[in-house]
Amino acid sequence: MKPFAKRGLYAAVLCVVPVICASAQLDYHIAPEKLTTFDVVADNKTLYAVGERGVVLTRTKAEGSDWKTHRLPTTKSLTSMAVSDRSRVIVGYGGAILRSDASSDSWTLIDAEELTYGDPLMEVVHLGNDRFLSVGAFGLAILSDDGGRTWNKLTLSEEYFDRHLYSIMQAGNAWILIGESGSLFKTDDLGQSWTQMESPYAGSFFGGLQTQGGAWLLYGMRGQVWRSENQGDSWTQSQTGIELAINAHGIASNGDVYLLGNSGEFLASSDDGKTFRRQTRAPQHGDITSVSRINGKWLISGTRGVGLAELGRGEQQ
Amino acid sequence: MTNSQQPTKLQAIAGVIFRHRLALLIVMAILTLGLGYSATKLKIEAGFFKMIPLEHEYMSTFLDYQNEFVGANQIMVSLRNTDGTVFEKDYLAALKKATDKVFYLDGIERSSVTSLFTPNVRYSEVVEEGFVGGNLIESDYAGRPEQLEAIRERTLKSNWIGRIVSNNLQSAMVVATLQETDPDTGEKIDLQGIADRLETIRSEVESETVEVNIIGFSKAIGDIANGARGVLMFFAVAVLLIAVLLFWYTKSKRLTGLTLLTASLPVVWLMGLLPLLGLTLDPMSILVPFLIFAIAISHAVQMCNAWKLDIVDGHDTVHAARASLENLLIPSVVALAANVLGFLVIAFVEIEMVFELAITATMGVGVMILTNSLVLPPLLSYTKVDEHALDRFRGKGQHYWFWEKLSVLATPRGAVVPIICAVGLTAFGIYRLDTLHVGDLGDGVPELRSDARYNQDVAAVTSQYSVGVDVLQVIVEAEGDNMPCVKPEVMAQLSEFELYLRQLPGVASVSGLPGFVKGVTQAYAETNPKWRVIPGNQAQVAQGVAFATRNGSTLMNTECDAMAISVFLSDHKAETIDVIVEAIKRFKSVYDNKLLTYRLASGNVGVMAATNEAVSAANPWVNTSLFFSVTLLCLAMFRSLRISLCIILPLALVTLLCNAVMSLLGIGLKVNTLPVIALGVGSGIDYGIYLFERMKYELEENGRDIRDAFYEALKQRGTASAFTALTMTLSVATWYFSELKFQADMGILLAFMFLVNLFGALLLLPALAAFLVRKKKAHQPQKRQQEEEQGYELASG
Repeated sequence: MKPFAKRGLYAAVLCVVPVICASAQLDYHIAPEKLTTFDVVADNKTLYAVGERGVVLTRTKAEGSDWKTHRLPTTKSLTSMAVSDRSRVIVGYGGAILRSDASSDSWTLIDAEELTYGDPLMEVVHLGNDRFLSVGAFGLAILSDDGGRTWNKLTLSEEYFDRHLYSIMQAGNAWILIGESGSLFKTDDLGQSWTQMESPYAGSFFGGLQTQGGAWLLYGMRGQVWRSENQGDSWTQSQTGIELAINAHGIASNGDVYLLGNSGEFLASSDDGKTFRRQTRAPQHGDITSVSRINGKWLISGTRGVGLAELGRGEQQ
Repeated sequence: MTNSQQPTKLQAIAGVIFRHRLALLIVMAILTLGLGYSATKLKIEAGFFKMIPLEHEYMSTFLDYQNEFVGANQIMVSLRNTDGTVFEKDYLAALKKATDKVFYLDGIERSSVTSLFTPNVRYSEVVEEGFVGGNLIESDYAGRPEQLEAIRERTLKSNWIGRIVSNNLQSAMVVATLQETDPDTGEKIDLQGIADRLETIRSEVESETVEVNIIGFSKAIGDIANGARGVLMFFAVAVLLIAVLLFWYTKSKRLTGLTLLTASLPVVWLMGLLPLLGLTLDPMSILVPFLIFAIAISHAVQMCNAWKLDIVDGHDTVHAARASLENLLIPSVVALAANVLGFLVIAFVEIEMVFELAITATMGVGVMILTNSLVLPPLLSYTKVDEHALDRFRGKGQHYWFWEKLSVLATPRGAVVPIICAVGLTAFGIYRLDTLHVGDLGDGVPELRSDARYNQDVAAVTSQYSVGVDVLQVIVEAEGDNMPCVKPEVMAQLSEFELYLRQLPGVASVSGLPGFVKGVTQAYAETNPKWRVIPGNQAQVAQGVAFATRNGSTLMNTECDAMAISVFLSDHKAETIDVIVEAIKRFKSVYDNKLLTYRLASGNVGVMAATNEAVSAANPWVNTSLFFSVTLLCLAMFRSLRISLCIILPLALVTLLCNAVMSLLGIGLKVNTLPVIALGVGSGIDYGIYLFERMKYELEENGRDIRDAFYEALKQRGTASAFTALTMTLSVATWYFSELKFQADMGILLAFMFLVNLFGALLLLPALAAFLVRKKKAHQPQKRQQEEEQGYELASG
């Protein structure tokens, strides 16, 4: 190939993969299907996917628009994001906490080293007003009352507790922390006080939900799903028929419960979580980390990227 | 036909040759016998290192780490269930059969055999009580439904999906490594035998619902070798074709035999000289002897034609042979010198195989100068021509009506159309030049056709699994004495590199230590994917690295100060490689630091990238020096810039058009095709030199005008030129049907060059001469009409 042609080809390709040489780092477009993503959320206008290497992908809710790449002021993996009317908060590895005003594109890295000691934060949720709650490894739980600008460490138990906390579940007015070795903590006063709950399972839970019928479901390692109809006083195991980790859930408009996990495993229940049936896998996302319902479709994040997909029952394998 | 005005030296040389012609023929015969015997010892030897540009920067990386990250000679036998998933009883029975068959292949490293049925394929997970693990298929497997379901569960939990089980769960493969030598015999593994036995496995396992795809180095080599067997057949067909055409042209069995014999001599000599000089013939150069044969035919036909014309003029065979030698010695030596230059300039490509090809071909043309001058004229002098033969030589007494009509092109009026066409074609050639690529443009193994079974298998495997056969390895060197790879900051930067690589177009997947460490970290955290990260502390990174050591040295070296990041490409098209290599260079320019150094490149695509760059770098030099030297040659011979331009410009146009044809046909500029241009120019110049040598004589010595001189040259040299061009074109055109893509590509391009160079010499050369060359003062003015009256149709066609 002649040099001119070669240069032309490079120029054309660089339009596809914009590689802008900066003084210290390369800025390049990241394809949604080629980034390990850990969480997806949406606000009024925008879909967000947070992932490895401090990357956030965004796109407008309108169909057909492309995902944009944003490199936040950290290279740590970002595990979770929460949005309110006024603030957006992202947490991640190395105790990374980033916030921005809802109307701004500028992100600030919050210095919370003295609270987190660099331990990973696994999930953040918006509790209401300007209150955000985040949990992480080794029993880490922190609370912010000012939209993520400042944080306080929570004491969940009088006893020493160092299990990893993976998820925060809302059940009516209560919030429940879910984690390693069946760890469960409940608050009825937006995080002011906490009660450790009896766990039905010695293994780890990765998430939970309250069904439209009011039942509580916990899910986690090795295909475990546990159900309670009395706010956690007693639990029964729901059979799933799988032994893969379940990491994410969604509730369809008709009340069907969807559980998704590693290798794109997909379970659905139409009886309020009592029984689950295996559906056609969604392997294109790898190990699924999060699901969010957007305009009748499902936004799925996983170790092989993020994308919108149709999920539905009736395709049992 | 003797040219009394030729320099005395020529006559003296011819005199010496003809005084000792019998002795000369005896010496030549003895030499030929000796070299023929030596030729039986010629070895055809492929050498991997001969095929790579060892001086290239990438190859120094490759050589530095070839023992650390040696690319295993693997074979992969993939079975696809066309009617379901792999978790079905009948399918698994077929997979078991294939696993057993591969296991018992000779030369297979048994411990390397990997499939769902082998004990090295395990899964592990963290359960409530701690770690558990086991084989994906347990030893008591009997095909019961609950067992099939359990296999599915374990497979999904394992990290084998994408590696030995396809992403869509429809296929699974048996992977095995071949040993270098057979442990039983101690001899080198017979790769072709392995390839044949793999085909047997395919036929035994394939069924209505199971499709088998087999890939791997040994299978590719086997299929190429099978294709190469056909090369001999193409030689035979071409020789037969040439023999038939020669007989049709000469109407003489004797002349046909003499031409074939003389053209065979340089081939025999060449093949005999190679072992004497300690050289071997590379399979990629196997076409060179045939090219030498074709060029020798071309020159022998010119000589025979000149001899025939002299016989028809009423001279005896000795006189005719000597006159032919005197008349053709200079043009043929100059033309052959141009051939030599054509071959020599390709040595600019810094690849030993190309250098060997250049040397081999140069030697071939060199000996051709001897055989063509010292053997053919003496042989012709002993050839008896009776009245019957003379009648055949004279033909039916037809006039040169075609050449006469064509000679109008050598007038200013007649030259307009060819020159306008040439300008148009030049514009077209320049327009297409931008789309000419360096390297391979197709998928699969470039030596085979894209629709060859092997390449179809490659496409099937790469589309189903996360691994591929086109791998570019970047070696990342880390500073530090004590396992520097376990530093979290090293892993973090490598993780950025992997993320960057995954974004590049043409990258199917990326495999490296960071990704592996992330997977281990996730596995340790009860497979929670939120832990799929590089751990923040050194101990946890070391834990992942420790697991990686179980995979051997595929991800890092023993000291863990060099890590191989493997980039699996969707194909190895030149533009795919270019884009990825340029992007990696860009990353390197920013991220090379005291901690890490990124070095291109190893893997088969690393070799391709280096080769493409070597060819790309050499291409301008090859073209420039080729045209510079043939121009000098023309200037030396004709002592006229105008005449030289008349010869060189058509050649340049044809070369440009050859590039355009390559672009149109999707043939890339590479090691196999670069010599074609050089060779095409080298042999294409023959026509111009032969024609203009005669034109110049007619212009200067007989005082003819341009048109008459061209007409005279056509009568004496045109028919032979046209015949040899058509003969050579037809014989190389048959290569198009070869199973080997590189042979087919060379056949198409050579046929184009041989044929279109003739058109250039017959159509554009006279047109340019009409404007550029001026008539000189006549010594012996003659009229074309008078000559026509004496003319004979020598070629009955």
